[in-house]
Amino acid sequence: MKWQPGEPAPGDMVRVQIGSIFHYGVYVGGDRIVAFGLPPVPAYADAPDRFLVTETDMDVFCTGRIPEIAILDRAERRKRIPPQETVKIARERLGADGYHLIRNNCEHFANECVFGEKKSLQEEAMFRMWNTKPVINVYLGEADRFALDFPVPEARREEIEACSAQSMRNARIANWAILRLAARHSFSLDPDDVVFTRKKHGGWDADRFSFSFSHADGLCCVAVSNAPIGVDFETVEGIARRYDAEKLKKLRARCFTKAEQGAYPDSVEGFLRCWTRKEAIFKQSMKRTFSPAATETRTGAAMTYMLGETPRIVLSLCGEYAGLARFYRTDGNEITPIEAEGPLNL
Amino acid sequence: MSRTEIIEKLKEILLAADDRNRDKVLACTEDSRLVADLGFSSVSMLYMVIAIEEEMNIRFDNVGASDFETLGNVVTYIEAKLK
Repeated sequence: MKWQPGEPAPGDMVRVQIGSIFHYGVYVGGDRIVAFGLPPVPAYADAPDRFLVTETDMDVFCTGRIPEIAILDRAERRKRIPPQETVKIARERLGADGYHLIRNNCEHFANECVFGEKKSLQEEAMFRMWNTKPVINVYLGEADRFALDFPVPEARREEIEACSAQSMRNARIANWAILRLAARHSFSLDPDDVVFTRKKHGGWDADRFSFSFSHADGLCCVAVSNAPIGVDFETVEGIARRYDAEKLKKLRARCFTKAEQGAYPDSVEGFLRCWTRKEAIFKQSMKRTFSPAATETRTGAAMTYMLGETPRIVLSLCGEYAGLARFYRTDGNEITPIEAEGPLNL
Repeated sequence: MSRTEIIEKLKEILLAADDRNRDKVLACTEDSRLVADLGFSSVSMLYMVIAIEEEMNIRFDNVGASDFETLGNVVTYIEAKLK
């Protein structure tokens, strides 16, 4: 939901900012608005109906301030009650009392009239600040277990269908399938209610949580969090098979900073600890171009874990809660917790 | 070096960087996309840049492998560097 100044239509949710809070109402047409309580300004301090559901002129509601209209997104438009029904519900409540500043306020009332559920983002924000529980979950699965038989944004579907490399196509399908499982498992969300948009740098974003993808050697990984997140992994076996000691030396020389050269073990695993951190930091940063040599990994922004025996997975996460990650393996719709070693030092 | 010669040289380099999609690399054209068609990963893209620098004696100036979508983009960059 976005808010912008404008002319309301009957059934619209309207708000005005008064100091650091917002006062909400439902526009019912004819320059009239129904709200739970009068605006909290001194002029109405002694009004007998200041804590009742009341219909007033817009001037009384706005108290000289500029009203903003709620612009609903696609998911919200699907959920909303038809506008004329909203007007009817609002007017049926005229005279109702039971106002509570936190649990039953003007925002709860307006949401109830428009969506049929009492909801207050101001209340949610307050509880979120009190109760924020870090969520950072990582899901791993085989890339070739999924068919594209679930809803994906049209632009993503085009990206998937444009892949002629089967490994890449499988990975893109699997990542999205696992993302849908993760939304349900980590946040109890119906994935069809999550709005996905393409970010400026070409990646994807969700409106309810942060996520990041990675894939390598037939495996896929999705990390989700309630703070911005970046993930990357490689398998030790896959890299060792493709790059011998001489090639690895060249890769290190090209992408490690001088300080990193001496900080990480001189092994495939050491290379991957540094490399996956660089990628995770890049993915979380939302920059357009990845410059490995300019990405410093020893700041603690990214943390590394080791998983499994064969293949041996080196996985790094960059995000506020990177040190608190939980790991899961997915098989179809089955999700099983798995052990990880870490977070590791350099 | 013509564009065709650069492409032929690039095929050898691409196989050294990542040989998982050997058939696709051997059949690639300027329109082939490094990630979506050839299945290149970020590590293989980085190794490709290193190998091109060594084989063709050029230096990639402050560009990442992710700046190249197609093989044609890489050929154009190399061609400009060789002039």
